[in-house]
Amino acid sequence: MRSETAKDLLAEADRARSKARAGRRGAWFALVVFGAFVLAAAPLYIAREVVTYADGSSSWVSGGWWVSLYWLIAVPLGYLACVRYYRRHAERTGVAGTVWPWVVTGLVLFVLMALVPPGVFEGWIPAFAMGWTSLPLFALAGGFLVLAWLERSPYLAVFSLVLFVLPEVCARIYDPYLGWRGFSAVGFSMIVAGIALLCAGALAWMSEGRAR
Amino acid sequence: MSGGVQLDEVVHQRNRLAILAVLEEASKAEFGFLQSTLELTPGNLSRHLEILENAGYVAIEKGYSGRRPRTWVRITKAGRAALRAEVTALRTMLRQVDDLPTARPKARSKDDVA
Repeated sequence: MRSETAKDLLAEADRARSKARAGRRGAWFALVVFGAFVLAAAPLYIAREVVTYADGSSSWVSGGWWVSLYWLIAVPLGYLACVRYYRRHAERTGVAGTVWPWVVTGLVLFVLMALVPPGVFEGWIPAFAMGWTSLPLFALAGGFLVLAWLERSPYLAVFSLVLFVLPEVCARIYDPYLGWRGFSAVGFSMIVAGIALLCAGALAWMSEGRAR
Repeated sequence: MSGGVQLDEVVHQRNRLAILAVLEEASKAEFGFLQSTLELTPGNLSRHLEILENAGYVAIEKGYSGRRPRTWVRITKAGRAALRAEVTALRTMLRQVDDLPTARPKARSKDDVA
């Protein structure tokens, strides 16, 4: 067999593979759904009190049972909506991908983060009992990293890593420079992350549409 | 067999290799998707799928979406193994060709010498 034929066969297989990959991608929907949920969570982080630290600095503290209730409903609902979307997408396009590893990872991370305390110094009080911090964002970011692997999307992988560091970056910017009265750094993180998720979803939608 | 590399005649065919490549990438694909992606006629695709199914490389499920009949195809474990073996064999062949010593240039004739 000539080497050109072997090369052609491999190229043909790669072309077919990338068409299937483009057909089954649907991450834009997940990004938009969770972007909307994250953005809608921001008002729940309106601060209750100002805490002054030993060094004289202070920050607004937020959270409460309503925040826990919100996330306990929003996250499973978001994953359910995405599973339904992926099913319909498969029916419409005729090509289906596996999304269960993403859903399971996302939910397991969410449960773990609900049960693990956000900070060692705050004692072993579960996050859901403390009214949450930015932990739902970490659980989402971890889930999206798995989705990026499933969809072979380097773009989504990079975005997931950005989502991991976003709350920390927001906190570093917010408290010393912005510090809006009555609003916490976590609330600010939610606004920034929500907008970032929606923008990433819009970009993914355009790119997935073009690929198809 | 080609150049010491074992090839599976079922998979060593352009369209069947492409079908398995699509199915490896997706958890399942519909007949219409395979047809349009690979630009095959229904008869041609059916024939290739039959060969792959007989070899145990794909599983075919027939069902309905509402009133519309739909045929979904999945790759089996044996199909994945066969696809990987074929891709490895093709890459090995390419490497072997690349490793061949290049032909020596012909000795120059007296006329070529200035």
